[in-house]
Amino acid sequence: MITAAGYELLITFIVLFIVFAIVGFMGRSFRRGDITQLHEWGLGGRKLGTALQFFLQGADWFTAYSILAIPSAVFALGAYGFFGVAYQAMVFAFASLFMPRLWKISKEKNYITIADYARGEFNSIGLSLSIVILGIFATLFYIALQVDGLYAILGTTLLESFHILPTSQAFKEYSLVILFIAFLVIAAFSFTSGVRGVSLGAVFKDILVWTGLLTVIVATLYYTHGFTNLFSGMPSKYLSLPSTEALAFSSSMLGVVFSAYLWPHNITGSWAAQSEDRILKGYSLTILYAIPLALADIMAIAVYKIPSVHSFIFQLPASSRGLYVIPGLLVSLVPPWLAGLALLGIFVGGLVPAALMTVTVGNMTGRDLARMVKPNISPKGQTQVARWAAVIFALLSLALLQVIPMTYAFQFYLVGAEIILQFLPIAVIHPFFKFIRKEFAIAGIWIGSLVSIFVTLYANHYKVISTTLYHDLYIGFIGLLINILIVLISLAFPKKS
Amino acid sequence: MYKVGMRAVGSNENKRNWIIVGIITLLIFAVYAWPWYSFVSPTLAGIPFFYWWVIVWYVISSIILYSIVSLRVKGGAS
Repeated sequence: MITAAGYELLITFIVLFIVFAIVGFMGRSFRRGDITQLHEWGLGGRKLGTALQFFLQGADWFTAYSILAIPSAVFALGAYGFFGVAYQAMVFAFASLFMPRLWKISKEKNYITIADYARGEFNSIGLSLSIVILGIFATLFYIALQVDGLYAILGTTLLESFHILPTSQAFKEYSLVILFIAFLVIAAFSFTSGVRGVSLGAVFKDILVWTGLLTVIVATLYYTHGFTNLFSGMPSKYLSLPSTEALAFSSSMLGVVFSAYLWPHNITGSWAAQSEDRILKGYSLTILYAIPLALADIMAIAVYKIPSVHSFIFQLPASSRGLYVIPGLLVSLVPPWLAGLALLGIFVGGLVPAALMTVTVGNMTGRDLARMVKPNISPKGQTQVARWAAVIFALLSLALLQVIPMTYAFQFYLVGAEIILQFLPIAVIHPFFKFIRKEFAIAGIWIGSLVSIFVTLYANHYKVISTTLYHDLYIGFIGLLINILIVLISLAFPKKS
Repeated sequence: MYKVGMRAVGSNENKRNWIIVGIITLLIFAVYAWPWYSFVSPTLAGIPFFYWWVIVWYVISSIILYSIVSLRVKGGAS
């Protein structure tokens, strides 16, 4: 039986989802361009201004998973969990260093993807293929992460409206059907509107998420009567970081900082900017997105302080509680329609990045793989391949997640992030210091990735993994160090200039 | 000698602008990269120092990064 409150929440959720789908399709006629050209479909014609860059970067970096998982970490671990937001300004400061240069090169030579760039800059199909393979692998499991977040939102929605527990068989079946519909929608609007659709979807998503996060913050402060009460009586690890965790905190942050804007989909989003100053302005404004997110993360502590939230969270099994912190605050503290709005915002917050990832994989397939198979493929043909590849990738990723258990998918994601870090020499060093030879670039990427994978497995005794060695050192850095040493060998074989 | 990719590496003005960009980047890393800010007091509106320091510096970082954009783009440091 559905309650009146559950009904209100559900209707808001469904109506807004339909609006989201319409907005995404409207992207097709937004700043019209010849959509049969790959740079029009896959980079939105490189026309995004500061505002759209802000929305797109915000939507694609502050994903459903980050909105749900960071509060989850603060709830369980205390101040340590805050590393997930403490790195945000560094992410954009670092990306600001190299992305304008990368944008300029891609614009001048009409590169669509980072694999395309590698092929042109290093004159190497092997390097390009390496990036496509490793990039698609990592991206696939990044989507898995988002799907994990989407389950938490659906879990809350179905629990509130139909009292279906997220652990039940019925939930499994319903949520699969809903996710299938959601992925069909994003596949369809990626297909028709490319990056334009993603950008408009991003604006819609950001507005709902900002509303949702501010709602959580205000409502929680209202119920706890301010921060002093929120923190009072909490164990000291919730007030500040224990000094024993400092190294792990720092190294986990830096692992993200250096790899964040090497993710192919974040490069796609940045290359869609109209000019270098639009990228830089977009980045600097996107940092502000972290303010409501950080405040909402602090609110995770309120689970221990407000009985209704506490009972909502603790009715769930311990393993899945974390991701329900923000949804729990929403459904317990604010009116159902507002909770529905915010939940849909977070739900779409997983779909928009997933859509940009499918477009990016589409770009890599149409631009890079298709040209390897059929060197004389026409620009129109590339776009056709890219659009269908996006659709197939969206549906394939969802299907794969039905086969691979979420625990493993998450492990693959952690490894994927270490692999993405290995793109640093070619994407960050090369635009400035052009000494790297293709042989060493390829060797660096693969050996760096393989070392990261093996050290990760070793550090975890070949069991369930975390990506820090001795709990303190981000393993991706070991791979990166070896990678950089390898590309430095290029200096011994100077290019003729 | 290896040719550096910067188009106008010879220009002193560009060099100076790159140094400014470098200093600002280092400043933001100095603020955040090592959790030396892990204290409880002074609190701000009841928020421990550890948390509010991180949040306040979003605003400062955002303002400085935004304010050097035109310097970078026009001054050849991008």
